[in-house]
Amino acid sequence: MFRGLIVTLVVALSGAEGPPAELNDSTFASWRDLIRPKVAERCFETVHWLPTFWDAVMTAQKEDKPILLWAMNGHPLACT
Amino acid sequence: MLTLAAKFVPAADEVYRMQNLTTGTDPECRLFQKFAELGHYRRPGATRQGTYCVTPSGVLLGSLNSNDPKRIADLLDQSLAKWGTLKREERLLPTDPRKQQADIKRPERHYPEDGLVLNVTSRDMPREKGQTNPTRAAWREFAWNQDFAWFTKAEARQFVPAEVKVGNKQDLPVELLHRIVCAHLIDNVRGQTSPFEESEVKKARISMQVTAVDGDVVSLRIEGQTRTAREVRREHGLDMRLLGKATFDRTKERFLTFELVAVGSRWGSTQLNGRRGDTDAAPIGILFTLAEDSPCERVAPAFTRHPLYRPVMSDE
Repeated sequence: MFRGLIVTLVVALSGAEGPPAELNDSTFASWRDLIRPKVAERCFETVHWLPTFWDAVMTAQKEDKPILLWAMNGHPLACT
Repeated sequence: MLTLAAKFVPAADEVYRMQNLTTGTDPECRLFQKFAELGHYRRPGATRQGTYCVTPSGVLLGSLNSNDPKRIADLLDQSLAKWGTLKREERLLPTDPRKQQADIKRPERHYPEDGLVLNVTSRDMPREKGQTNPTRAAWREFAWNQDFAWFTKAEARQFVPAEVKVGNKQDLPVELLHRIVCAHLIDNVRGQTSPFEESEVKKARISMQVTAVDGDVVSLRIEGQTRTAREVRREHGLDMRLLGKATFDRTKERFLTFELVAVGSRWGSTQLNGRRGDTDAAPIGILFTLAEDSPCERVAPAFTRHPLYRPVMSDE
């Protein structure tokens, strides 16, 4: 029966049907994992972006390399 | 693509500050404007969003605004070829750019090295059975966003009850509570939004309770409820329940772990948050976790100009 309850909870939190269960100590981890970005969603971090353009200017000047700049309204590594 | 990108120094940045010809007057903004004005968007006053390949001296190698991997790979390839044709004195600045760093007044210089830095993720939660998600583009259904929340070392200490004894409970001070509520419990899932003013906080409480003490390490349970609402033009708000846990090292005066989940409902829309046509109350989730001490996670919070961020942004 216990296993059945867990399966029901996982299905509910997967978003397939209906709202998730109420937030409490026993559902906390499921909610956390539902919100937390998956590895594939963070694939942009496989490039080791510096957080400011000037950081790149200083590094590129020292290393004699070109700069690849990703510039967006709202910081691309934060709230776009 | 990664092999190509490794031949560059990659950086990501917010474009609005840098492209503004009136207020963007520091060396970083001026250097950006030098090449961005020659890039893919040349129309005066237009956005300068996009991907740029450029030399440290500001020579534009190529640019475009696209999320097509093939087009970006071509841009990198062509830019590297152009880089190879330039002489060293054309590629590099005549003086060391580190000397100008102090002239660049970015919020990132207030990064609280010894304080508390949280990664804040937001995402839509599954809706009631039968409650449709009136979105036209698939990306909206799976959208998520992130920001960072900063607290100084002195503020981080205030998350821990004054008397560390199992069972002791303490409410978070109003200034810190309202910073979380107004600047971070917001609906930015589909794009930039605006923060709440303190006058728009209808209900807010976050309490920290000591659940264990093991030597220097204090375990905490976090619990709370908040409600914010803008009731004038572009009505919107959030009604949230919070639950979390954290551990704090009293000797190092640092959080070792921190996980706080906020779930509830959002409604309404702001100018840019992509909620037009989806303004009825719907579930949202926001997660606060410890940020890593990596360059990627040193980006400043979106609303460092909010009055509630003054203690962090102070130069004193």
